[in-house]
Amino acid sequence: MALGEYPAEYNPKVHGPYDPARFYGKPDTPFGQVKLGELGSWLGRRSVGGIPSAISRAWWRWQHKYVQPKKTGIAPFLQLMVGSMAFFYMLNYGKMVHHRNYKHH
Amino acid sequence: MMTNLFSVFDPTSSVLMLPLNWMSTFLGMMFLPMLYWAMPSRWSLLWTLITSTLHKEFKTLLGSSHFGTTLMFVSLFSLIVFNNFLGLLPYVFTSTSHLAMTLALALPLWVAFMMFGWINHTQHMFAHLVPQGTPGALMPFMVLIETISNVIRPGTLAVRLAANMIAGHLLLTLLGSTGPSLSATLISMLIIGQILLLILEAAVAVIQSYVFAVLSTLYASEVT
Repeated sequence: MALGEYPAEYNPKVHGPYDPARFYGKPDTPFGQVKLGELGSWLGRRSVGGIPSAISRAWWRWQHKYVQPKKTGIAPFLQLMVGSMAFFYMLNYGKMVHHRNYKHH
Repeated sequence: MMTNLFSVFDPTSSVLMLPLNWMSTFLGMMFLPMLYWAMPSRWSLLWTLITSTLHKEFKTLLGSSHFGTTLMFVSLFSLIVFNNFLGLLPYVFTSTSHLAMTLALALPLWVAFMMFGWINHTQHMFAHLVPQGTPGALMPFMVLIETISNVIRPGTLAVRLAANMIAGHLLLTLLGSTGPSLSATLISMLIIGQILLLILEAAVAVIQSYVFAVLSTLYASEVT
């Protein structure tokens, strides 16, 4: 599946208008209902190439819930700001962890 | 307390020492509204309001014969305003505080305007070097001054933005680093001062991006 194209399993006559938050492939057990013994085979059925699509679907689920409704508030804006702060904190953690011992140097 | 006062401006992250902090440049894209429904959401309406006001402003500066050119300047404004504003959040990197970034925005614009102007409207560009109503004896001097002011334009655009961002962040960092050694009353005064500075910096963030975009528009309108 190339960038910007519909998923191969999407059929407009069957599924209607395209929803980027929906998974159009073969349905599988949700992760919350997978038994521990089946975990290995469940993970085997996933593919690394599907990770960008999964991230995109997660992004659109968030958009549908918080940004696209007609009457939203400041919540998505604040969520994005906190998320970016957390992301860059994680990215720079190794650099910053030494700062707490600065006065002893 | 910082090991180095300027460590806020370091693009190196702790992940394999790769300069991943530059990713904050694209952070603004996540804040842009995406249209899905025919009825726009509040966010989309707000963004459209801001950008249409800017489009009107830039159209007045550019003249009505260049419809569509305002798109580039409004995009420029959006990029810079998101970068400036998000840089004020703790731990988020300010990519516009680096000359590498601001020059990368200013220099291609200016070079493009100059090449277009001098190749296609040479007479017009020469005429612009002498302002209207200059006494005859002053003309050579004026040409020299106008040429120099023209040549330093990308430098001023870039340095103005970078210096404003650096100054704000440096001030906040410096004041914050005195925190651990202060008494309780002084700390509360420091916090109030920092909050006021933060509000100022937020205003500066928006104003400087506006200035950048408006000046680029003006330089573009001079050439055509």
